[in-house]
Amino acid sequence: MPQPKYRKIAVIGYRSVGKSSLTIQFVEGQFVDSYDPTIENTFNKMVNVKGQDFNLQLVDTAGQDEYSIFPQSHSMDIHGYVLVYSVTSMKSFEVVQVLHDKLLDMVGKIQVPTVLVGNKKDLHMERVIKPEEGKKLADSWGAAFMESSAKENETAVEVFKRIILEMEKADGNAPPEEKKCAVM
Amino acid sequence: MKMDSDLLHSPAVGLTEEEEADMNDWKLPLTFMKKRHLEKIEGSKALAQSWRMKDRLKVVTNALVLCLNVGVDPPDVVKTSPCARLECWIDPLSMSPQKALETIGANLQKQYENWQPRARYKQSLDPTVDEVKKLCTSLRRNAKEERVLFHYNGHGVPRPTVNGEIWVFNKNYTQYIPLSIYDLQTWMGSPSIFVYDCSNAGIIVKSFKQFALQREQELEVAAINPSHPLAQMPLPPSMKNCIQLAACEANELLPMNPDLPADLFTSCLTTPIKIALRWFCMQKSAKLVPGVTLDLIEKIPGRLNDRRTPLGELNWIFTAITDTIAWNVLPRDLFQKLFRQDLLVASLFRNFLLAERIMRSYNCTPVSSPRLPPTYMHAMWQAWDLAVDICLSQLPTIIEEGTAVFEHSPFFAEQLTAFQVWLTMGVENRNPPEQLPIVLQVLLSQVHRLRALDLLGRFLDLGPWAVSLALSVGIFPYVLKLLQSSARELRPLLVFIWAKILAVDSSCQADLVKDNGHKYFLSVLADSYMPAEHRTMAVFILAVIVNNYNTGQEACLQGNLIANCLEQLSDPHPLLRQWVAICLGRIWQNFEPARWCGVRDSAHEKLYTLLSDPIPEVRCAAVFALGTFVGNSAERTDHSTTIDHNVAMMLAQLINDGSPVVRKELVVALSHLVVQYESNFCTVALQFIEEEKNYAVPSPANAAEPGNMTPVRDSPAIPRLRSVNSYTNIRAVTTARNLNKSLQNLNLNEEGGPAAFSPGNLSTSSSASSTLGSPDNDEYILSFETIDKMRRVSSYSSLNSLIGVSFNSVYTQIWRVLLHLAADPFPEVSDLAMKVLNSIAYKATMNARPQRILDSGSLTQSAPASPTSKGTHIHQAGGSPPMPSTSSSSLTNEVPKPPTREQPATRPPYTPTLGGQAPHSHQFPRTRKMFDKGPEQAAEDGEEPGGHRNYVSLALQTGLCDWSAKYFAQPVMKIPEEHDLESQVRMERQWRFLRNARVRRQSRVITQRGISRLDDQIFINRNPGVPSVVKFHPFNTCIAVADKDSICFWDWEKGERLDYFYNGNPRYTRITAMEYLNGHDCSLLLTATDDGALRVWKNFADQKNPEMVTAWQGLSDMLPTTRGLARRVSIYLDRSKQGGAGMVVDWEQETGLLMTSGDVRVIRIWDTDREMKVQCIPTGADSCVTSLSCDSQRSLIVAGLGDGSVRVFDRRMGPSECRVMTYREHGAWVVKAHLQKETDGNIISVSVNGDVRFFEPRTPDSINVLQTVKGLTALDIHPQANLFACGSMNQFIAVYNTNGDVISNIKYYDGFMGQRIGAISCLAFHPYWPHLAVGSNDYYMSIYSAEKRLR
Repeated sequence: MPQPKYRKIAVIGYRSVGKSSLTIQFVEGQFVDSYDPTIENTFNKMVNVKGQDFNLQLVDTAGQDEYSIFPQSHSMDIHGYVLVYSVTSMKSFEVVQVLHDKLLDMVGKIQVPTVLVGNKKDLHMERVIKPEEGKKLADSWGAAFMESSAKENETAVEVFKRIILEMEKADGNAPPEEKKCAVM
Repeated sequence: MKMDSDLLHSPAVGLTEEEEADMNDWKLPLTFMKKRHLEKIEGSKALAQSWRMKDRLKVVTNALVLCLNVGVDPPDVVKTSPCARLECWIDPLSMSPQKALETIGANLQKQYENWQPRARYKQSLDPTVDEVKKLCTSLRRNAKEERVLFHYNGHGVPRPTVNGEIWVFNKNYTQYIPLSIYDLQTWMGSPSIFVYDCSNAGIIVKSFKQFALQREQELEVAAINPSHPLAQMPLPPSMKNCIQLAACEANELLPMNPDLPADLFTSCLTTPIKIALRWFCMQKSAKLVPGVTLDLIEKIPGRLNDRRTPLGELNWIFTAITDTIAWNVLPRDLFQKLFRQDLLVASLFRNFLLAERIMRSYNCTPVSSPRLPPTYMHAMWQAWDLAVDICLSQLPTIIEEGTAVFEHSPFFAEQLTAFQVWLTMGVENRNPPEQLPIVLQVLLSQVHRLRALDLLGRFLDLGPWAVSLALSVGIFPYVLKLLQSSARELRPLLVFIWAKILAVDSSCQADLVKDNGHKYFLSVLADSYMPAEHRTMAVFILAVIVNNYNTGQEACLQGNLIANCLEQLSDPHPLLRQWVAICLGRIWQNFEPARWCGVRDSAHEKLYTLLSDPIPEVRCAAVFALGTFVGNSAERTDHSTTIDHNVAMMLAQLINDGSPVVRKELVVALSHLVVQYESNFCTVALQFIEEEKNYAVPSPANAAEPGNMTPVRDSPAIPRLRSVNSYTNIRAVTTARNLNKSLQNLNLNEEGGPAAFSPGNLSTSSSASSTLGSPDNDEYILSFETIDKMRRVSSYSSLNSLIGVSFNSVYTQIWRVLLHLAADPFPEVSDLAMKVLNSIAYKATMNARPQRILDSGSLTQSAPASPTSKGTHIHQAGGSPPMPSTSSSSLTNEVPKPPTREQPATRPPYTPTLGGQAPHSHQFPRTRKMFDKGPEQAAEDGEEPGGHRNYVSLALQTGLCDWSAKYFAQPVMKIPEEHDLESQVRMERQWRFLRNARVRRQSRVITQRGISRLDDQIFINRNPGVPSVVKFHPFNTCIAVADKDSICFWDWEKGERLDYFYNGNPRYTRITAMEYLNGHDCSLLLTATDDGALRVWKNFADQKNPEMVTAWQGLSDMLPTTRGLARRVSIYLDRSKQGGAGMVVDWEQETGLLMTSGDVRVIRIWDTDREMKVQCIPTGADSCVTSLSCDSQRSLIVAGLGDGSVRVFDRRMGPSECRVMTYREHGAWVVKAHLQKETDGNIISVSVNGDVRFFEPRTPDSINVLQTVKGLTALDIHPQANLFACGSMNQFIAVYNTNGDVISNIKYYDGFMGQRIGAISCLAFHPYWPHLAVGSNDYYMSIYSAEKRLR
């Protein structure tokens, strides 16, 4: 059994897009439907992805907007980022682009392991962002894209598995299938 | 004949002399124009006590809630960089987050403690919802009904939500947790004050109000429907008494300027000076003062609470300025609530004004609930800027060089000057002086105190409105505190200020006694170096302290007030004497120890001297004091009864005092005695009633119904019996007008009708007037007639020998005095006396009647005590059952009780079987009813059983003391209006004097030319009654014509009637003389009737309601024989046959003396200034005086008598030798004796036989005789022209010049087809114009003048 890998992930996005809900769904397997704005919260969880154990540390951050000063703490010692927007809020989608730019500025790289998540996909009636738009944005970043619902455990787990994969990819441990795809 | 013209000469003409006369108008004193004549004797309305806080509150516990979460900014705030950081003047990032939080919390507490050191503080740093809940509920529990403060700093949490939530934390500080304002309200309860320092704080205020409204509705629902679920829950407290202060409006963020602290709002509220100075430095204007830096500001020397240091002085100025702004801008009640109710709230709100000023400069608007009007632009802020500027500019030299001495700010001195400027112009209708709150602050400073007190006193002097204004600013605690000061120079000022306050709000007596303030004024009173004015004020203050306030009475008694007062009784300052007496009267009012102290010091005997004081008000006060002295409800010993009797007999001497105010007080004083010795007076009353019944009187009323005390309503003689009560009603202002109007109407009808001159007119009009005056409310047992009879029957003349009567008959004597007063010419006096008499008569008859029933054997003592069915109809008829006094019987009496009152206490208070008794039963309810309806007897309507004492006691009082107190409430420093050359009063006076001068000048021109004829009839009209006296007004075109009991005013130029009113004299009396008083200025009319009564009227003849100014009994002992004759016949032509001269008077304007005489053997001289009898000159004749004439310069009085003699008196000499000359040349009744006013003027006298004689006062025989017609009825001598006119019963008038030549003979009316004139009843010359007014007994009044071309 190889040593579990320690990975720290920050969940970033506009206010009330469901960062905490997504995180808590993943960590505790339950959905929180009340809204108490988060100051900053950190969770720990062990997951196994492709036979490798990961000791995940999740930083649930306070919601940010385009004018917020990006906290420096979010640029250091973070292995991957989950950028969340709500498919029901154009504002959150706009903000997430600004946040990504600030993130890159702060980190000083052109690419960081990132998953762009369109949350609240269960609210069909209120959807304003199409999956294609999200996909297009993620592609422009060179990031992965997913839509999720914090009400469903599966998609939450999927989000975090995906960011692990992204981080692994960045570390050069890309899964073979993907290489195949790349060949294609 | 040359000599004759000299004798009757007109004064030498010269302009100078004329001018002299004009100047004299200004010098002539006015009579009956004092306040007591012009005002109604009553107190001013009590001031509504808006200034006194009923619910003083205190903030006792403070919750300081800080939500900072140092290091983490809330998600919804975008901060600038750099950004405002300081919290409570601490940079949170300068230390570890936890430490920073704790330091900030501690600092905030310190900052609050500066304002409220003794409160409990609880910090709650980055709390959870539960912590806040625990904190709030526990604080509310401890605070009970006091106020709790909730301070919320939300700089580390999101902004409040529109749902009405603020944010706190969860336990792990991972989340912001909302806290509903509704919950907060529930935990905090009321009263509370909330301070919100966070962005969008205005939202909280809004939601707070919404929730409060919701609560009110819930409360209502719960109140209406007890089964409603809401009603089951503990009721949420009402939020009405909550105050909120929020940093900004609902849509505003807090300023982030890095030069400012992050908690700018909190800084303004708790460290105002620091922030104000910093802000001042940040402004552009601060650049004008070089060298002042932020560092320097930190180094301003001194402490905030030491006013002598620069920093303390700034703080003091700041307090004064914010207080002043608030007082000027806020509505009064809001000011009281926010700035005077609670120390901490007041401080916070003062500082809130600063917050508004500073934060508005950063586009942030602090919000408060209750909302304040904007104050940030107030001009006073400029004064603040100046004060700061002056202070800061000194800093560089003081701090850096350390040599200069700090110069104090001129702020307070300048503001006082501004106040002084206001005072020179200030009047009520101008805005109040905005510096008033500053004057208050200045009282704290020893430097300015004297000046501030002086200015304050002058402000208070402006009137009651100024006093209430000052009280509302909060002057009270300051001046109360100052009473502890021993500085002598403050004494006059403080005494003055306190007199002003107490004159407006007497309820301060309790505060004064509580703080031992009365001692201050006792020592002022005893201080003989103090001017009399200030001692007067001190004794006034003491009189207020002891007024109806037992604690005050005790305190002052112990402070030796009585001895202190007694020493001042003879002070030359009249107002001091007056108030010393009032003060004495009040201290022993219903307070036995003080009375005994007074007895030991023989206070009553010392007060006797004041009974003859020249000032009527002082006499009044003395009567008041003696009245309360005897009117003390305590048990009586023999000794005290003797004293009471002594006092009563001393008081009785004032029965004929000239001032009605004094006599009113006398009635009240005697009523105290009556209540005290009620049973004795009942006995006397019964005796009098019996005596009167037995006396055969021509009144039909009593003969018809023997034993009936109240015959008036049923008797057929209603119109004849005019009770005093109704007679007053006639005179009551409104009805008087009506009466006059209706009389005028009547008269118009008569004139229009064909039978205009039928002799029946007299009867119609007179009966009309008497029915008009006939009683609608004849409510007294004793009618005026009965009382009048009583006092005659019971040898009324013995009144004059009152002094020295035997002990036992004191009650009888006092009863007689009261009877006499009940017939007083001044209605208020007689009404009061009637009340006293009737209450006793009522009780006497009440107690007597059951006795008769017992005699008849139909009732036994075992009659049931409770009312039976028989009694019920009485209840219905009469309201509550009358309660015969039971307690009065327990009084100790020396006088044997009437047999009827042996067992009144055991008798049931209301005997129901009475209703069954035929002859008296009907009177029972009726009399009761009468009392119920009696005017001003509300106090006697005490319906509670056993309130008999209340019912019996006459809560009589005159408004004298309250009225006197008004003196202090009104401006005393202001110069009287009439001294103001520009005033209306002065202008009117000036106009009148010009008019007078014109009349004198023009009339002189005419009389100088010589008058050769006087028969041009310029006026004729039919008078409503037979003219008995005519009198020209000396300067205007008005003539007064009196008939028997009314006076008519005619304008002889326009020929129209101006007024006609009833003089108020009783039946059988008639007006026999009239005089214009103050003819040169505001004229009054004096009428004299043949019963010796004098009445003075004002407001006649100018479309106003005639009002009685004063009235008194000028002569009290008219000879009964002549008087009886006079009463029988009203107007007869020949007065000599009539037997009486009635009353004759002569008036001296220069000295204010009134000579009165008539059917008496004396000439009585009244001083109208003192309203006292000053001299009584016996005529030495058995006959009546028919004419009086006097000359002030020579002090001579000439009297013509009925026996034909003319007597000259020198009033400077004693009564026995003052008759200096007696001429017995006339053989018959002297019609007129006239003394010429010049220094060597002669005496001219005429008798009915028509012989006119001239005397030189120094020679014993006449120097000239002229013979005119016989049968003279009237004669007048023109004082300027050489004329005299004789009226004869033979229906003609002859006008002679001094040579004895007939100028004119008037026999026929001009316009009446030669109708012959009537018999002349009276005639009079105008004092200046050559006009002759003639009244004849065919009702006509005509005026004749010289030929037209002369006029």
